[in-house]
Amino acid sequence: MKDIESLIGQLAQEGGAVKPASHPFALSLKWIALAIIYLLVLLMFKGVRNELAVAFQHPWFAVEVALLLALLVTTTVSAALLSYPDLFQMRRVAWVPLAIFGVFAFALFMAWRADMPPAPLPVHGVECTLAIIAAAILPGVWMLYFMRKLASTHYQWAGSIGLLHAFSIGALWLRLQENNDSISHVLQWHYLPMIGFGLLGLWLGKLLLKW
Amino acid sequence: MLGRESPLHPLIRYKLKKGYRGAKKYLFRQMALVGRVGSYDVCPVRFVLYRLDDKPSGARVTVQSDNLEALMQQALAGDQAAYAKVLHATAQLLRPFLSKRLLFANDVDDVLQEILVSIHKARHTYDGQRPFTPWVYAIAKFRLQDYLRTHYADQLKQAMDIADLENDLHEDVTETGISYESISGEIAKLPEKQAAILQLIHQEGYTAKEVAAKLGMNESAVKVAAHRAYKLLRQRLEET
Repeated sequence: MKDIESLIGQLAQEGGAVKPASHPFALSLKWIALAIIYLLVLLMFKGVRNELAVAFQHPWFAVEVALLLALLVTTTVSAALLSYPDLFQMRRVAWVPLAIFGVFAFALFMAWRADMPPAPLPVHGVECTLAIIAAAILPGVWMLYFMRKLASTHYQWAGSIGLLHAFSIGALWLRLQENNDSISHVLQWHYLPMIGFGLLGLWLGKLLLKW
Repeated sequence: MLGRESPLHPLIRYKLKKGYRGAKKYLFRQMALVGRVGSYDVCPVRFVLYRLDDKPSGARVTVQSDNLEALMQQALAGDQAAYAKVLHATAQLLRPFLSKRLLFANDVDDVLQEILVSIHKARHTYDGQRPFTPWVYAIAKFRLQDYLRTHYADQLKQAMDIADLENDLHEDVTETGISYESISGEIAKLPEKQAAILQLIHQEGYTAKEVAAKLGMNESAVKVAAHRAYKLLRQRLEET
């Protein structure tokens, strides 16, 4: 009991004025703005696909891009909430990306069904995954860095969602940049590696976000 | 502990009175979300409700949640006295929570200290606008789980593999090398009369009296012969 008293005394002495962290929505807005700037820079350097306007006339392509964007936004909000010990008392909002993932998987399935006859497969394969990973490294690093400044009690989930946010930036960039209409290719080399990235995030979260 | 005019849903009230676990879970979730249910404060340890204006004087939670939020706001602004009060109240709040979950008092003290340090480290993640207790309990639960995980991992490290103990264990007493066939074979080798008695008693299920009648002997002679047969049989089986 004495130890507790002395600890409280010591902590109180150390407890100067502290600036509370921003509201998670404000934080997510900052992170989304950062992600969009990064995405625009990437597109400026590497260019967009030739027939982007034509591609957007295919409804499933437009839905896919819209859902990727939704994934980017919701993973950002979720990552911000998961960085607070009590999830800012908005537990339900933190799990919204899971619902978006469900819708995204359904949309991809519908796009795959609508891809008849199938569009020709591009000659490359794993290069797409590597390009997404390369594009996602920087956002992944800054997300984990920002999240580390807060105090997550769900560090594994936080790590996973943080990396999925980074991956969705890379995936969105490649989808707008690559001249490719093959949904099988996109499923295999763009989105399936997302699962691996999510699992890697669980491990990185444990490694970097535990406090 | 329910008051006269509870604002709780009647079904929840009924379930609480009946002691349904689901109702307690509901309350606990509400507690985690907003710190109170209706105009009741919930004790997360005992799952009982206190009216906010009717809390027993002996209740362990002496500082109202609202006060804690205001105090924490002052603490974040640099008021050290307010911060000390918040930490005292938090320690009071968490001690029963931990005592319920940990066996030894020194473990409770250790975890409580860790939680207080964690609260200190993470105080910038509290803004003074939302309820304070769910924030504190989130950190407390996190640290408690961490502590328990380490504790059990240590225990697991110290545990011995059962294979290492195999040589020290006693020999198996329920399993021997004696089989039904070996016993039958040994019975066949016994003197004719003893073998017949054992066969009649153990394989065909006759009583000593019935065997005596069948073989034209008296009952005690059958029993004596059976006893000698057992002795002989045991000797021979032990030799093999």
